[in-house]
This record gives sequence, C-alpha cells and structure tokens, in this order.
Amino acid sequence: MILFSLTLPAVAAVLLAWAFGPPPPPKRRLAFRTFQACLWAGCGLGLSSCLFFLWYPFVGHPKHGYVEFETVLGLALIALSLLRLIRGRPIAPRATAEVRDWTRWLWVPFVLSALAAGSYLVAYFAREPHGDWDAFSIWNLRARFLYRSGDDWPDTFSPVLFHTDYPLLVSALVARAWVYAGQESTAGPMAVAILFFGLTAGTLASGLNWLRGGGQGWLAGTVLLVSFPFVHAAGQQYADVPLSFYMLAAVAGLAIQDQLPMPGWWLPIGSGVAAGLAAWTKNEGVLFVGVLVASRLAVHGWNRSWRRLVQEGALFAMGLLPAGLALGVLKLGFAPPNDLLAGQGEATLSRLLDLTRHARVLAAAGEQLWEFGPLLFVVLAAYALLVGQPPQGQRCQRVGFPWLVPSLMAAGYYLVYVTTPHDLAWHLSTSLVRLIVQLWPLGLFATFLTFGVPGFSFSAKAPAKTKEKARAAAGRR
Amino acid sequence: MNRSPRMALGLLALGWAFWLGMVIYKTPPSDPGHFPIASQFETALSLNVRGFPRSGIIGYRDEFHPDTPEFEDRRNKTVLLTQYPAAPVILDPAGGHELTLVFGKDKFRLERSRSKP
Repeated sequence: MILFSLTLPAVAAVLLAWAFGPPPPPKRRLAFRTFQACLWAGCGLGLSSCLFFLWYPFVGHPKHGYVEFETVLGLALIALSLLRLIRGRPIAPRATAEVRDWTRWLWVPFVLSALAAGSYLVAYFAREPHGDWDAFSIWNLRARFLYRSGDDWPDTFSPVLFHTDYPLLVSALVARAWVYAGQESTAGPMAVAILFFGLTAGTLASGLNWLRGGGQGWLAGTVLLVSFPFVHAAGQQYADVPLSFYMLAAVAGLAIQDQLPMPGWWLPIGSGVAAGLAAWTKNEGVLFVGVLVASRLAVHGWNRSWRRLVQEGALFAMGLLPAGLALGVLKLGFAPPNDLLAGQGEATLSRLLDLTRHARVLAAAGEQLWEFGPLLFVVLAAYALLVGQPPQGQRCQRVGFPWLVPSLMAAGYYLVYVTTPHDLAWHLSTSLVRLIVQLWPLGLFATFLTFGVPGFSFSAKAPAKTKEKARAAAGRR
Repeated sequence: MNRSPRMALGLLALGWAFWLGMVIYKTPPSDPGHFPIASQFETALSLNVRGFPRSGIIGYRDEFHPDTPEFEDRRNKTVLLTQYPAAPVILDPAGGHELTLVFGKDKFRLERSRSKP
C-alpha cells in the first residue's frame, strides 16, 4: 500500500500531462517525454502532500475518508487521461531522425552508477532504518505526530518540539503513506527518499538530453549519481534531496520553455508547481521562489520580452497556488516563528559589518566544497576547459538563467550565515554541506548546459568509408 | 586532429571510476549485530510508553548526564532521541508537569508528582 500511495498521484499527474499537455516537439521526443514524466511525477507527489495536510484543518484527521477520496480522485484522473490518450489526443508532428553515434551508449555508465548508488542506499537503510539525526528529530518525528495524533494533531507544531516551523512536504508524504498502509513502517520514508533521488537524476539527465543532446544528460546524471554527499543525503532521509529536485525541475522547465519554438502553457505551470513545492519542502524553498522570480524578471527584462513575461508570470503564479495555500495555512495558522528570522534585530547590522564572520563563512564554504568531493570540482573544471563551448550552431542560447539561479541562491545562503543569530561555527558545521547538496543538481545542470559535448568519431576511417560509399552510389547512377 | 574532446572524456571517465569506487567503498557493510540508536531508544522506552497519556505534554528529566556545559550537547541529543518513540506525547524538559519521564541510569522511569502544577 505504501508503493500504491506514492505511485497513484505520480502516475495520475504524468498521464494528465501527457494527455492534456501540448504534443512533444519533433526533436528528441523520448527525452522530452521522460522530462515531462519526472517533472509531473514529483509535482503529483508534492500536491498529494499538500492535499493531505490541508485535510487536517478543513476536514479532520485523514484516517477517516481521505484514502477513499484520494483513490477515487486519482483513479478517475487516470481513466480520463487514458481515454484522452487512446481517443482524442491531437496528432503530434513527425519526430525528426536522431543522429545515432557512440554517445547514445552513455546511458551505460549512468545505469551502472544508479546501481551503485541504489546498493549504497539499500545498505544504508538496512543499517539506519530511521534515517540520520534530523530524520528522527524533525522529519520522521513530525510524520509520527501527524499519523499518531487524533484530534490533537496541532501538537505537531508545538514550540516545545524542534523546528516545528519547517514546511511539511516530506513529513506529510510519509504520514500519508502510513495512513494508506494502516500502520507505521520505515519503508515509508525510505521509499520517499529513493523516489526523489531517482526523480532528480531522471530530471537532470532527460532535461539536458533534450536541451543539448549528444548524451550530455547521461554525463551530468552520471556525475550526480556518483557524487557521494548527494547519495549519502538521500540515505539520511532528510528533505534536502527533495528540495534539490523541485529546484532543478522548476529551473529546467523554464530553461526548456526558453528553447521551445512554440512556448506552451504547461511548462510555466509545471515550473510554478515545482517552485511552490520547493517552498513546501524547506524554508530555503521560499528564498528559491524569490530568486526564481527575480531571475525571470532579469532575463525577460534583458531580452525586453515583456509580453512573454506577463504570460509566463500568470501561468507560473497559477502553479504556485496549491503549495502556497498549504504553506500559508501552516505558517499563518500553526507554525511558530522561524528561529533565524526571530533572532534578527539591532545585532543584524553589526553581524553584517563584522568582516571576520564573512571570512569564516568563505573559509568554511571552501573547505566544504573541497570535502564535497576533492577531485570532483577539479575534474569538472578541467573537463569544461578541455571540451570548451559547443560550436555556434549547437550552442544553447540562454545559459544565463540557469547560472543566475544557483548563484543568487548561494549569495542568499551566504547572507543567512553571516547574519545568523546562532553560533556561527555550529551553524556552518551542521548545515553547510546540505546546502551544497541542495544546489548541486542545479550546478551540474548549468555546467553541462554551457559546455560542449565531447563529440568525435571513435573510428578514424569513418569519413573515408562515407566518401567511398558516396562514390559507389554516384557510379551506380 | 583536435584531441581535446578525447582527453576531456578520458578525464571524466577516470573521475567516474574514482567516484564510483568511492560510493562502493563507502557502502556500509552488513552487520547483523548493529542496533541503530533510534531503535535502541524505542526498545528502551517501550515499557514506559504504556503509562503515557494518549497525547499532550509531560515532563522530562535527564539524571544520567551531569548538568554541566560539557554534557549539554549529549543532554540535547538524548531528549531528541527520547522524543522520537514518545510521539505523539510531547516531552518538556522545562518541567512542572504532573507526569515526568526520567532518564535515569540505564533505564527510563515515570514519576508522578503529588501536587498538580
């Protein structure tokens, strides 16, 4: 039942997008479909988490009636989508033929890396079924409160508990899986962790495969799957990997939208839903929504595409609504004030002007980036230098936006650390690596979008063979 | 012939082999004797949970760790570990409650105060 509870909203959302969204563009259709599936599967999961939470204040404890309601709704949406797919789907334009060179085999290291990461996660879950510290002191603890408490469910947000102002996506998804199963099980948080880990890798690979082709997505996905801190963070059952997924999905969706010859309506909505769900996952997601909006304003302002900005903004805002509603109810109705915001005041300016704090944050960031993977950044930088930018015709025109978002996010995190009311050393040591994990998929997306594909032929005689064939064909004529 | 793309791919392949090895090397070995700390607290508290109310707040006191600054981190971690199996009952280290869960030497016990707060 846990698997059913997680697949039902994901499958319903994917089928809805396939059935009612615009047909895929002619080029790289499989990559486009896969990206759609990853984006909307994550959105479906997140939206079910919002619905589950909103059930408490508006209907009551979800043990009564929620499963039946959601199952009927999910199955009805699936049936409607299947009907549309079978009967009334508009005919998509013919797919263009793909260039089939050796890069199509780059899925092999991706799959091998996924197997290695999967075996790590299984072994880690066998050893730590309840997850790591923050899992059983924040995320899974709140899932227990949501599931176990009856009419006293507002106790979940008691200020006596640890960080009860945090958004609820992960906790609500876990509690929801338990309500479906009728009992608690550590399989719930494990399944949620694995799902978001896989969706992040899938979104990165398919998004880049569509945008750049040439196996660039497989390369980026492979690097992500063997980035040890990222894999480890998924095992810890924290909310950082789900947050990284929603941030990546929102940015990749808008980056794809920028490259489409005929901009559709579903990508800005999907990006809006994903951005809203990022805010529903962690407080850092609220910063992300602000950064994303500012980045789009900057991009459209730069291009003077005001009309497109208004259209996109309206669709994006529509997508933000469901998670915004859940977050509004949580923050205005139940959650205590955030410790970082409540701790600001007259001392903030003096912290900001204290140069030693800036130096400590920068030093810690450098240290953590090195520890994140000592050779990771060196190898990626060398790779980027060697491979260079793609030829003019194949260059992705709009790489500014995918770079702007992680850069502004990093600047925001930097400011939060400099002004933190907590002990700076403690704050840095307990959270910095997780913040890098949150931005890591976005960083890989921007890097592999900017740099070229190592395109060459393994066979040195290939051009000669082609020439011979052409001569033979000419001779026959 | 431009060899840069080949070198780039070779470099990435080497890096991949190294990182993949790191993920495999760091995979925790199977250890049947390992008992996760969260499960330890769950087992330790299982008898006392029966005496808990269905929900609400009860007191919490740590008599195991000395009340000194060097043990503050351990005391904080212990209350978090105890809260996990105690949910949906909230443990309040501030005290002043009719029922108090005490983390004593080796085991937990419940104390009921004579006068209501």
